[in-house]
Amino acid sequence: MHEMGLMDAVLRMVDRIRREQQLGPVRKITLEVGELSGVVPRFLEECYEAVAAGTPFEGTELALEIVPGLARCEDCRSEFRPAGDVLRCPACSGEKLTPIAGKDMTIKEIEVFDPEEQ
Amino acid sequence: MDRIKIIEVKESIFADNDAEANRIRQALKKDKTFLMNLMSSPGSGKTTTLIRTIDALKDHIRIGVMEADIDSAVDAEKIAETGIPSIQLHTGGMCHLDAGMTEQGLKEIGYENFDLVVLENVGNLVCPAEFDTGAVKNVMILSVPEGHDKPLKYPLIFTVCDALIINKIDVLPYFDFDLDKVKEYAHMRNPKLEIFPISAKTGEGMEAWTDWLKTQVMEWNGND
Ligand SMILES: Nc1nc2c(ncn2[C@@H]2O[C@H](COP(=O)(O)OP(=O)(O)OP(=O)(O)O)[C@@H](O)[C@H]2O)c(=O)[nH]1
Ligand SMILES: [Mg+2]
Ligand SMILES: [Zn+2]
Repeated sequence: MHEMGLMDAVLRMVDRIRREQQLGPVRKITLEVGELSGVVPRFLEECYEAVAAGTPFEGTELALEIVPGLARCEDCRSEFRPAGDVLRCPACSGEKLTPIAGKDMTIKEIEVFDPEEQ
Repeated sequence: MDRIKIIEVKESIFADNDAEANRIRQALKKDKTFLMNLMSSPGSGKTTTLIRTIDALKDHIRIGVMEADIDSAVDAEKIAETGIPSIQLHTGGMCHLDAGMTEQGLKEIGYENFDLVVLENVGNLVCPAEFDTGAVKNVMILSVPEGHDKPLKYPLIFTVCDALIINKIDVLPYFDFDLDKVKEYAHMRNPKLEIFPISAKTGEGMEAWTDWLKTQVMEWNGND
């Protein structure tokens, strides 16, 4: 499944950051998922446990923040938030659509246990 | 009590892969090897097109093939019949190849000994498009039976590709496939996309495609 490959990339990247910055164990990873990124948030959640199993990320928490999508119609220049699999402009039924927001998937932040004493 | 610290990252999940892909491209440039990443849906004619391409170019340039297809034992045999070295890449069940897996394959095949290495990516239009493999050029095959609305349904792959091969044009009369529309839709996603309508079966259009590829290889390797 597509989402598994993406989660795998996320965990490897977080692991690299954790090592480089000599951080303590990870508690939670927060991702920003664009509505037009082609990623199904539910699938990300479902595969997380399986991808994290047997790695230092086993038992950590995944939080997803959805970034709304925005598309522009190149025929009538109207902007709209696409819903579902619609491939047409709601104003003029144009098919030439350009995604302008919500295309990306980003690691927003990670929460770690701070090993230092207070 | 454990204290919790929040580390802001704000980076694309593809950032590490992209960095590694750029390192691969630098190494390829230095050793004068051109890596072509070939992507498509299953059954679009990758193997048939590849064999014809190899036949047209193998006397001029040294070619190697890396295959990532999950069940391509049959394909591997067909490629072997051309006399071209090929290896099987291990995707670990993933739906795409990333830069790390590609780099392993390049080492295994000994990429410095080739002018052109072709990477046959996993057969789908979504996942491979997101991961930069380190290829110099990305090429996609779309076949006539798949329909002309693919650029609308899978926009990303059209934006990351340098060339689009439209295969199986010999069956155009039997399908409701609008060649002009597909060109228009694809150029909307990517105005610089080179488009080659071909039939890997009859050989029609093959020359324009193989000429383009040969020119790209020569330019990259610095012996044009
Ligand atoms: N009519 C026609 N058939 C073709 C053409 N190219 C390939 N085919 C047929 O399409 C089928 C699939 O071709 P392959 O070359 O195996 O396609 P592939 O993309 O490598 O397939 P997988 O590796 O299974 O994903 C075969 O039956 C080919 O004979 C073409 O230009 N015209
Ligand atoms: Mg094949
Ligand atoms: Zn419109």
